[in-house]
Amino acid sequence: MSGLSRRAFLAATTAAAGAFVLSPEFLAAALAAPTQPPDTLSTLTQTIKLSSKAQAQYRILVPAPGEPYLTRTDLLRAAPPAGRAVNRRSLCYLGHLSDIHIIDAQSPGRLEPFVALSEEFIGASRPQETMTVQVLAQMVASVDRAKYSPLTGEPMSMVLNTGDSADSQSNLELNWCVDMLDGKSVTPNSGRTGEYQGVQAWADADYVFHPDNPDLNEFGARGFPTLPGVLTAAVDQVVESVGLPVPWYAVYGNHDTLFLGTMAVEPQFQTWAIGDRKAALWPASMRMMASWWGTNPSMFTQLVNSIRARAQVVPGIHTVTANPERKLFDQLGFMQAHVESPATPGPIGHGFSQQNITTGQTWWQADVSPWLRVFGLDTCNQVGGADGAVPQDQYDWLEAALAQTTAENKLAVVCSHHNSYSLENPAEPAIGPSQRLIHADEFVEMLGRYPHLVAWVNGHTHVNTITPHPTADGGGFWEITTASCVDFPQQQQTIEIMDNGDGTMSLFTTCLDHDSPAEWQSGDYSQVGLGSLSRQLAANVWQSQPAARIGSLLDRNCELLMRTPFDLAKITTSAVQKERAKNTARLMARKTSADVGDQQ
Amino acid sequence: MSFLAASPRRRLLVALGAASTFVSAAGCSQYEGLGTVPNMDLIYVTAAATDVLTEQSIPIQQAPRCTANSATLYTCKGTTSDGRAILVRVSEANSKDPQMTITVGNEQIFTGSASTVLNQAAQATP
Repeated sequence: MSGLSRRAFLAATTAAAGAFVLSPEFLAAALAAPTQPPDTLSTLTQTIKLSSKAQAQYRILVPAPGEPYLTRTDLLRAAPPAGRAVNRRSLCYLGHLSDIHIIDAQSPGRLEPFVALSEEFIGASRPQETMTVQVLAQMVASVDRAKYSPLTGEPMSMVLNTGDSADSQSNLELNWCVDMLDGKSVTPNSGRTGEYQGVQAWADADYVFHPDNPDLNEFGARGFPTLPGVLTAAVDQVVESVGLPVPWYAVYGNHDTLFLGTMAVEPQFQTWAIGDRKAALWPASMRMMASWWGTNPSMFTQLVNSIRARAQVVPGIHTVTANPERKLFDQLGFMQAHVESPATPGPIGHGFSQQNITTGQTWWQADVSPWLRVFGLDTCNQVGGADGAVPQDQYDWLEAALAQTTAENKLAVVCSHHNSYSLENPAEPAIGPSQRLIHADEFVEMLGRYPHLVAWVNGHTHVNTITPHPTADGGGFWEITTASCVDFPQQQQTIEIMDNGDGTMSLFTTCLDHDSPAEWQSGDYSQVGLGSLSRQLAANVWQSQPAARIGSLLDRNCELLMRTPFDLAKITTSAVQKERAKNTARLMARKTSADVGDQQ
Repeated sequence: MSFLAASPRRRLLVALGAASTFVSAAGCSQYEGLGTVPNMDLIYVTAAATDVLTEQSIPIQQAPRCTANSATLYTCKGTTSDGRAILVRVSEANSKDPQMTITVGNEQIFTGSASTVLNQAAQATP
């Protein structure tokens, strides 16, 4: 391993500074200083836990001690090498978001009455569902705060978003998500200004949490707080996002593919989502589904239905403000929204390209550094069901690409929405072309054949989970699953890939709490306050087993050891320094431009 | 008879039937759509067993990996740093509160509720 000569250092610095319109001297001074972990709050120093005392059964959240890294040796099958930290160097520091689930809670294109059928369907209407944009803005702020590694001080190079950006396949939800990640502001009100129109304000929807009157149902008995005016405050405020500090990449989640993440819908459903009628009760939902499903051909029947609906003859149908922007997006629309996203923080398309749109291919690969290739898969099933699978054509493409990556001696990271616990969807189209679907065991076995693959990064289950996949030859890879932004603990993560310089490498996973305090101050309906409130409500949604979703200690802040797939000395120090210069310049340029913005 | 050619009443019945089918399908399907993932219990039991081991300072080389032997019986296996086998057995796994028995080598170190373990782990120390 050889580092940059002084001349090469200056050349690299000048090139990186030039790419981001920075002063080369400014950048050179920053790079010459020794890297230090930033002195900022992280889950290494403070975590958030449920209070040991409950009001009825409701618990507030409180700060708790940090969680230092725990070392996992499942793949190494030996004691951690002593002294491995001495010559350690960072090869990539990245952020991982997943299951953001932006919800337009006022949209008619939802099915909240499912909650009345079973507690299992709480995902159809969560108590905190009006605050998802605030939570994402606070999570983006947290990623921004973590833009230098808490372990090494190295600059972040990218963020992976492993799907379920939208909750109900709504165009607005997707746009709000992209805008928050890009650093725009959003007013998450799809209805009338100054008003919330939705089930949490309608007394006949007595199965959901009513912030103005929790005693309407079990939520009150369980100690959920009275929050007068919170619904309007949540939808009617401008939510500001600092934007992700680095380029971000995205893949599909089942909620970006199917209505409510579970079922394919016909184009006729569009009229439901963009219309001015919203169902609060199950019979009304069924009635509306039936009405639109039938593409009613009879003028007379349409007229009768219209009169009945307007007269509220069918109980549980409410009038809301119609909004054509609530239209459901399709597979192409998801890619299009990413391709149309601004160039900064980029990259353009966030993994998808115009070619993806032209060909309809919904998966991609990207060389994020000279030695690291990322593969973004689409494991979602277009037919139905929340679980995923890998279609044969994508499987073949990935296997060939992994073979090529191995031949080129690059490291590989695969990202997808589904994980190995949720890759068993058997649904094939009843009509039209089909292909074999590959499920978890076969997929994991294939990945294991390519030792250059070091990590499979995913989401879907909303639980922090780290799963080793050992292979018979003593190798293997780590599967890293992050929790979600919507359910407790509303955590995401960073991952740092380290070369230990002794034939082993370590992946450091660090959980990220979003940037709102653990404790919610009563009456605080600011963006920051609603982030805290959302997390607290989520922690008390008994139907979703919130305590279980944080995972074990060995699923959170960890050092994941493994053998190196090849001699990592082939990744020269010079190349690493050039990447560091580029990534540092990007962050410094962003800070500079933010400073200029502040002054204006 | 095609769907569109059917009478309004028949279309309504078909639609209701389709929706009911969806409900029942979702009911035995996955949380991150609307229902509950069958494997969520495996994830939770794995986390609970691991938390018990770390709480008791058992040195883990391979954390327990759980598999479903049947609808009601899970087994999780791992090893300690000093080569002892970790065995977690869960019967009636699909109950609301799976009960775990954890053995390290020949010693039974825990028997009790997975939910209680997870709830305690998520709580601040009083």
